[in-house]
Amino acid sequence: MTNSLTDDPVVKVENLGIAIATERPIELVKDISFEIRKGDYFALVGESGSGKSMTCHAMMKLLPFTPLIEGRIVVDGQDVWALDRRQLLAYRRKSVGMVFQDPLAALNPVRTIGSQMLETLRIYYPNADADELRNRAVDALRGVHIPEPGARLGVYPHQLSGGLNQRVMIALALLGEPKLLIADEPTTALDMSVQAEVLDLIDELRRKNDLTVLLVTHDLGIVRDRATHIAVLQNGRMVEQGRAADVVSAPKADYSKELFAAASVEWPGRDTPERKRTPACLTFTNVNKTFFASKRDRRMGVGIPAAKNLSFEVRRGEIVALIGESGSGKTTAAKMAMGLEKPDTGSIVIHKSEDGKTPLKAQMVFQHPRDSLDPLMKVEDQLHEVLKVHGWRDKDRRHAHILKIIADVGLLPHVLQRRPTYLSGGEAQRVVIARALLLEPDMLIADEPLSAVDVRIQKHILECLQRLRDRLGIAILLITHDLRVVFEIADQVVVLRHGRVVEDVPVSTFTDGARDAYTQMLINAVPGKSIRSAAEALSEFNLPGGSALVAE
Amino acid sequence: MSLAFRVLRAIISLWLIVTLVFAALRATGDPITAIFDPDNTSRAALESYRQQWGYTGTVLDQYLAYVASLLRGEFGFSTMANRPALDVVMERLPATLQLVGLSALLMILVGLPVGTIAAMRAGSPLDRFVMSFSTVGFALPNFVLALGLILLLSVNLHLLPSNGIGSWQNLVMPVLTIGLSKAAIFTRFVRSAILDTLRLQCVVSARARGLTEWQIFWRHIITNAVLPLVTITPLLVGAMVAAGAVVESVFGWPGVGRLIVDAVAQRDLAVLQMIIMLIAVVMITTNLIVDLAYAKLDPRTAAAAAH
Repeated sequence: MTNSLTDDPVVKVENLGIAIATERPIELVKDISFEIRKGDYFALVGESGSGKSMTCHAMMKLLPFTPLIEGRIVVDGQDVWALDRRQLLAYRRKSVGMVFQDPLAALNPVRTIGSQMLETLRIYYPNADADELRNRAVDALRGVHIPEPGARLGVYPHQLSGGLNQRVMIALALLGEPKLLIADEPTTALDMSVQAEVLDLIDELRRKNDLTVLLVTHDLGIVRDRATHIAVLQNGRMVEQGRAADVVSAPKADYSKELFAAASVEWPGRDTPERKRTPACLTFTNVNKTFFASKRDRRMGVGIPAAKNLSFEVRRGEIVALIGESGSGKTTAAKMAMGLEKPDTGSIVIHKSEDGKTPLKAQMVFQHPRDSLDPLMKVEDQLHEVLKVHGWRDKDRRHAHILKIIADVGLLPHVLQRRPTYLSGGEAQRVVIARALLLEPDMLIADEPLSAVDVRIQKHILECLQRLRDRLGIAILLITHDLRVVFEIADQVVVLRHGRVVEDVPVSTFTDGARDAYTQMLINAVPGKSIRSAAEALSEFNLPGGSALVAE
Repeated sequence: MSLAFRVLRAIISLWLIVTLVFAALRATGDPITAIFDPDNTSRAALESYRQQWGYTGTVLDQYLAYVASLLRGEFGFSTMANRPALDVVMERLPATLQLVGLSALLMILVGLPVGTIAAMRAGSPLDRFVMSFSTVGFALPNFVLALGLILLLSVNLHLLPSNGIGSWQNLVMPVLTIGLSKAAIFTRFVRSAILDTLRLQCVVSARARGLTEWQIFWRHIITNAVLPLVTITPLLVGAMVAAGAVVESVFGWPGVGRLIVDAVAQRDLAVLQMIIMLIAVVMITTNLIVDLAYAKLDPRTAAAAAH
């Protein structure tokens, strides 16, 4: 019996189809089949809308609508969609544990961590007394390496960091000692250095508890480093699956090739030509800014420093990447540069043009393109509006200018007739960039312009930013938490931590033995680093520059 | 925000209300000539009434005198009852509290379960039925509902007395009128609060952990859904007091609501001021309590305040 059980796959999905039951059913997932064997680390990869989340929610029978289901999902010997209510409860309790994208949302904000753990433990130990349950909860938190586990039981989720909350979620998911752990984008909402810790934890638990893991992600870096098997989804269909090593080294489907190419890390320091120093366009000098949560804090002087002696420069035609984790003061710096926040002390100068007469112009691009466009207005009208406000009376002239800018960001004129709802994420972000470019700024300040879009689209936007720098000579202050983006296009890297500049170097020298420990940690946390190790290994053969090697 | 600050804010609100009431009432003319026909009353008599009720001097003098007497705890003299306004109002208060309290209870007892069920079955025929019923409920003016109830239960079925106070039968129709009309609104709030909560990720994750729907409802849905409801409840209770003016008149219920109507008709300013102030105090206190309760119910706001 044990034998036959271990031979059976833990998960067997056969020709799964998911559709929304309307008059004309909307197909979300079609004809997906895969198997996960005991101990596998199975990665389901795809962009948003590919059906990856849908598939794993279907495995828990947790879809947010009443679907039409085709095919079968068998997990731990149970046909999930054929279970009755009692069986389904038992299945969710014993067979599978699930971890979600945003741990803060997945925990009830108005109840303590402890009460949420105890209610779940009570399912498994209905006869245990309060002390025993508490001890078990503490053990579970210790098992996911939460420091001072006893003290955490009494706190609310908002009092913990994202990383700790995700650990709590993992502990909760594993309370029933399930065979399968489904992790739906478990690190997407976390900072990069924390991402690695959480993934390491999942690795460790998998080894220790003989856990089978199904990881859903859009981040190929994660997958490459850890998964044993990879399945790639596109538009609700499976385009490729196989052993991770095979899929990574030789992807067969065009789509996976494109995905992997888009996500590969171009380690810098090889081919980056030294740019000639141009005059400065934005200068921060000893800028300080502290936020206080209350008046009392202000009196007591206990505030959250968002900028401490912040000094850096953005030169004309240069892309400066401002990196750091959430809370490091990146966005505050951007807001101060735009004049949306005032520094407490220090100076922020936007320099004048070469003739010394007009000050240079800066424009801002925000993180969520859809939120920064009016959903009801045609793209064209939104662009015209900007120019109209700035006194461009002649409609034909406006139109010609808009067409030119649209071409600059690599969009076709037909998007002008659309409303934002009908734009893809990448198109929307480029429209936002185009809108910022309309007034011909000398500098763009872009706050995480890539984090809301898929990998392949990131590529397009990066190319677009690069083109703006190279052709139009626009300086860009690029705020990001993703080092891969930095390596791709930045000229200069400024690393912020707790409002201080801990590193300010050209990107070409950024990775060779970064001086600062924090920077080093950021570099180590880049997913998909193994590519680099290979390049490094090769470069040890005393070849001058890895890029030459790649070219050969 | 500290408690002291909240209390200070409450006091300022109260002062603003007192002032507004004073200004509004004085803006509508000389109260003495409104009560007594100046053509048929001797000037001396008018003057003595002015002295007696404190309507002497300029409006500003009257205002200052009024505020000063308020601070001394003197709330003026009722012109229609010839007694202190405070006594007149206080003796009507229990009847209104009874009415509003029972109506609020009815509102919650009806609105909470009905709204919850509608939300749980959102889009179903049951949900649509509840929602249409609620639309009718809050579109219907109180006096129409009141007269309809009288017509049905008193005139046709002879089940309940249409007027007066004294037994529980007298309470049924006024409470139904106020409670049901507010329940119609409250049901909608409950429904949308529950619907919002159902979409929360923590509900999905509780389900994934294998909690029963019953546990999920009481521990994860209700705990989050009460937050918006707690904020809206005092507003609805305030609206009940206002509705009382009409409903108490229709059912001859001797509460504060009917007293307002009488006081306005008779231009009994002291009583009117007293009532409005009383309502204001009640509303401000309720809001204060709700603020404090909210901090208890939602630890996130407490944390923000403590920082």
